[in-house]
Amino acid sequence: MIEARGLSKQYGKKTAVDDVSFSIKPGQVTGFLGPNGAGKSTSMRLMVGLDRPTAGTVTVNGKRYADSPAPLAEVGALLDAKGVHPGRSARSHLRALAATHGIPDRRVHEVLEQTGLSAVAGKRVGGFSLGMGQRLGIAAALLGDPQTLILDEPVNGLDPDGVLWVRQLLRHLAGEGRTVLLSSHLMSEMAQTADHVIVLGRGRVVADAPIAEFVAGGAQGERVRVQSPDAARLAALLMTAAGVELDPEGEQAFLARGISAAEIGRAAAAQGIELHELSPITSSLEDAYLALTRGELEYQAA
Amino acid sequence: MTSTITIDASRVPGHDAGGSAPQSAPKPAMGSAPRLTFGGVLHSERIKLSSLRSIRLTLLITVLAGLGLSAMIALLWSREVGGADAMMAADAAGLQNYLLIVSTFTAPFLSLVFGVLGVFAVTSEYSSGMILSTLTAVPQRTPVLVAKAIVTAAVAAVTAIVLVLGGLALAMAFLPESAGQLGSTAVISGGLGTVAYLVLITLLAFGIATMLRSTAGGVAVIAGVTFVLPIAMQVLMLTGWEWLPTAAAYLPSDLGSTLAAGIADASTPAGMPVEGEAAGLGYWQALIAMVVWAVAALVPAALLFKRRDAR
Repeated sequence: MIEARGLSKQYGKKTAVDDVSFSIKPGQVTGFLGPNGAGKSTSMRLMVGLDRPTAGTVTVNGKRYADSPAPLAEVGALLDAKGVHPGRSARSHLRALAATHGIPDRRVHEVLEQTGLSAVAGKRVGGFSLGMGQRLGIAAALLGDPQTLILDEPVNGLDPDGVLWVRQLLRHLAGEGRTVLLSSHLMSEMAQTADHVIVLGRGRVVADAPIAEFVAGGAQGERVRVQSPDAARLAALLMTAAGVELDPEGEQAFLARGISAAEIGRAAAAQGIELHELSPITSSLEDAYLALTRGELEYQAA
Repeated sequence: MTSTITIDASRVPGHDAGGSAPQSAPKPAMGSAPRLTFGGVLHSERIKLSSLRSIRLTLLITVLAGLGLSAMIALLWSREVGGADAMMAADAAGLQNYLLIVSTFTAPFLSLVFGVLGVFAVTSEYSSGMILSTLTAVPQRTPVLVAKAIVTAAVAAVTAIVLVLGGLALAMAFLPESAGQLGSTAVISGGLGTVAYLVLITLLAFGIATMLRSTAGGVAVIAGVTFVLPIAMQVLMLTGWEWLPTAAAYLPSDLGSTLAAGIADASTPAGMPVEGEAAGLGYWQALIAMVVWAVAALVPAALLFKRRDAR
């Protein structure tokens, strides 16, 4: 369980995180979603005490992370795949981290095995690809067999196999009752991995909901695309129903909102109107996210 | 502002589909429950320092270059002891001076190398981003700095001891009769003083680097303190300001010279005049002054290290 209350962080004049509050629950995968500069990484750094909050608090399992008697067993964090000295071997890097907590070398061996790095464990990290660096970061996060995992963009640079592996690993860890938080700007990845999403935009929480609800929720209503040679007549007919909105798309097509495809089909059939298309449009998480963060983007394309 | 959108949850791709069987991980091989201890942090810092090729290489080159220089000095000075127009008499004081010159003459030059070691020990974490991993594992932070300082000081001490003992061995190899003065107060205190000076200059650099978090900045400051300031002082001496020689005696490089000269044996006449002695600074005063330099850098460094954002 990670709890943030009124958490804010300013770097100089720039506000990276602005009075956010949220709870990240165990037993599920929570996704931090947001464009670059939305405050995802900063929030994660605040969770493990790398940066000091300007205001507010964030606790892990009810206490400050720094107060844990065994931080690595409390939280496993991947905050920057480059958080490794390039001149050190993967094994030495992990051994150095493990030593702080008296974690034995065979656990180092185990996480190397688990992340598929055994073959390159003795090689200098400087020569690693981005994907191997990510695997090493994940290996480090797993070292203490932590109850909570905080992973910043863990699939960045991974090949498809690696992406699938991370997804399965995270779902498995959440299934064991652990708290799993990952950030991503890849909506598709989030849709396949997370149970719950917290959307950040310009340092604020824009949405905080179970993923299904997040994707389904909203008052916009299902949209149906309709094509008919007699579009105008059908449109006039549908407009008589309450709460229906239509967006014309040329002369022979429109988008209907507030009415189901079945209802439109029934109405058309009753009046003998010929239909060429009747397709419900399903928005993706991506659409939901884009709609939410429009205007929240830190760096808008001109 | 709340924006709302409609989406069909059932169409979110493969949310629960795919049903990949979670790998049944065996129980992690943890041994006893992991716990953060200072001993562990110390061990971690030892692994970090010893697993960097650049540091091992720097130390190796330092030792080889230092001993090479000592050998050359021994070769030259062993001819200047005794004999008609020699610079040093072959008496106790002369032999002690000979031993000290061979074993500690390189210290002022090496102080920069030791300073760089102190800087690297810290900045290698910042330049690479390793500091994020380090401070995530040890969020209390202060143990990291203390352990790192201890390990770095220990490495500096071992290296300095190797250099001084190696220098003494070379000196005796070139002039066997000097061996008799090996146990003299002057030689022992000069050798230990040199080791102390090199360790303390390493810690001074370590503290400066922790505050600056930059390799270039750290090296520049330590080079400035050990090399540039003494020269600037020399130039300023021309002004004739009375306080200058006193102040100059407190510069690390001058303190190093005073420490390297050791405590002159009461039974023998004073050895070669050393710069620091001109201002009347004794061995113990010099040692205390050097400790003050190191502490003056380490204390603010520790406060900043604890308070600042990680990187």
